[in-house]
Amino acid sequence: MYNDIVLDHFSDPRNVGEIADANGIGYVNNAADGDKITIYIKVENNILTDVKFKTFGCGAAIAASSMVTVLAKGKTLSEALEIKNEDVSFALGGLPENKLKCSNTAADALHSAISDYKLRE
Amino acid sequence: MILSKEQINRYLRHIIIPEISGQGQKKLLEFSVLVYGETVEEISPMIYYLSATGIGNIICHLHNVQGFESLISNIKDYNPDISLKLNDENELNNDEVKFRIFFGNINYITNFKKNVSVKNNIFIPSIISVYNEWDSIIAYFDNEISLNHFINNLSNEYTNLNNINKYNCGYIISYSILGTLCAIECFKKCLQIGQIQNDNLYLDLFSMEFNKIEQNNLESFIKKLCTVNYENINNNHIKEVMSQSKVLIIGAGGLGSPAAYNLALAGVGTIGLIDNDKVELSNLNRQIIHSVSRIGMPKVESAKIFLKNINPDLNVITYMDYFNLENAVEIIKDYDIVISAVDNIQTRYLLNDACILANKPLVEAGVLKFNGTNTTIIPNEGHCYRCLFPNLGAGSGASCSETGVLGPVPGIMGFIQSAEVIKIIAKIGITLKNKILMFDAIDFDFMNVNLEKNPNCPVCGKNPSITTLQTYDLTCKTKEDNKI
Repeated sequence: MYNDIVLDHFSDPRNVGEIADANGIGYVNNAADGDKITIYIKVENNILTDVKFKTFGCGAAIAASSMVTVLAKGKTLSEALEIKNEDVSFALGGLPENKLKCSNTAADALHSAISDYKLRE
Repeated sequence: MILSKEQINRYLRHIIIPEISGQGQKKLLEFSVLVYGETVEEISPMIYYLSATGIGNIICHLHNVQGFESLISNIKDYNPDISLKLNDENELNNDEVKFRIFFGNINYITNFKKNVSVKNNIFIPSIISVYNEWDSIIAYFDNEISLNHFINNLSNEYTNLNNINKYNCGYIISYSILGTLCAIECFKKCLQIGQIQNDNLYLDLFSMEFNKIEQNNLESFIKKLCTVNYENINNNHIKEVMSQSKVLIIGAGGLGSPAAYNLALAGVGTIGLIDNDKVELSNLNRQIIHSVSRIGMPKVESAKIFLKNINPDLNVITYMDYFNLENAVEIIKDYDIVISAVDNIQTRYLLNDACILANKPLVEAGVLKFNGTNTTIIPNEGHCYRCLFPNLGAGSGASCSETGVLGPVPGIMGFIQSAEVIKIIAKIGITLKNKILMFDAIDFDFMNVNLEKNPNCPVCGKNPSITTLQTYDLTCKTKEDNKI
């Protein structure tokens, strides 16, 4: 049911883990489906120099988290805020219809991490 | 991609666990383990669960190789990713072997006295799994001195030179559970998860007691293992009552596979199997009674082929159906004991109520990720599911997402279920009545929690409010959609 890009990011996710000295941490919890996404960001001079994630959930949620870290890394804060959930699923070559709502929430977690960073500033 | 599409599908329940992921699965497939064992029968459960886990290279050194060819062809059909072969002593090439498992009864293990090879002074990390009927020790060694010390100790304490009847129920239970624990240790060693050096355990499966072994009590546990005595158990009588017993297994999946496998080995007369699913590739990280060539076949049929192969005398009755309100009473009434091997909470409530009302023992288990639980419900005598959780709360069964499960974890739990069934049928040992056993594969911890029957229980209490089966919200609507 998944295309090759999704399977690749699901089975070999990029940027997995925590950032010890992260200056922003964002969460998305989808209680009904059990997906839990945590995104860690390291911001230096307005740029996301590092982005990592930890996700418990289905294949789509893991692939989306992986992809959002790839998309966000190296971007400025305002560029990163431009990344929407739809951009993530587009970059993944599309997600199944029934996954779009429940599991394609990684960009929300990224935005939550950026808000956290701004609050800390 | 680091794994093929087929592999992603096969190991889906592993890959979805963040601690494993695709990268971890790839490492497992590249790992090599050397297994020392006495007979093919004894090592088979371990080989199945090593293969389920996706340990790519399994080399066996066997005292008696009878039956190995057929194990190879079964494993080839179960998981073609696995290379299973015999080790030829003459061309022993330890360079690729990263882990060793010494597996057998005390007589067999003591044969390794001064005989454990160390090549080029490099010690290969090793597990010793040694059993004496229902009791066993599993211990990890990272150096030659402590391994030899253990074997010498064992040999000094063991004076029983009588012929061992390796085929009684105690042995079957021990080698199945222990072999599956070895597969978990191999997994942990490969991915460096947990602290394997602290994983030494004494298992008393007769009384369902599990003790961590520390350096300072190792010798007393070795002594216990060597002197434990089950002579007063009449194994012929057990065989006789087992052959007359009828056991119903609800679910032919991760738990049902090992439970049925062991009961077939132990000589139970009739197994009833109910399951409405067909075999899928993604089942094969844990459901050892199915295989690649049987993908698409109803699980109950696939299971029957496997079980009849182990024990041609076994009577297998199959029901390709959901276990539900309509058929529950009718099916249960024909059996002596019920094993709950289901994957959802609604069916657990239905089963609990049906067994309490029909007065049938219910042997229950559940698994998630690296954890499992077991409990045994004996109506009128002990606790039931509703003593703990009186009602099926709204939303409590709502989670449809797959959290994943490490293949050998349901293996352990299912084998324990079969041990419970044997003890109930034979009226021996101590069961998990009024207890919940909790297993954590990462901490390698078995913990018993004591329970009591709840006098206010809505189904088994003094004034029950539930006296007939009720409607349960049985299906999770989006289950099919959310499988991955």
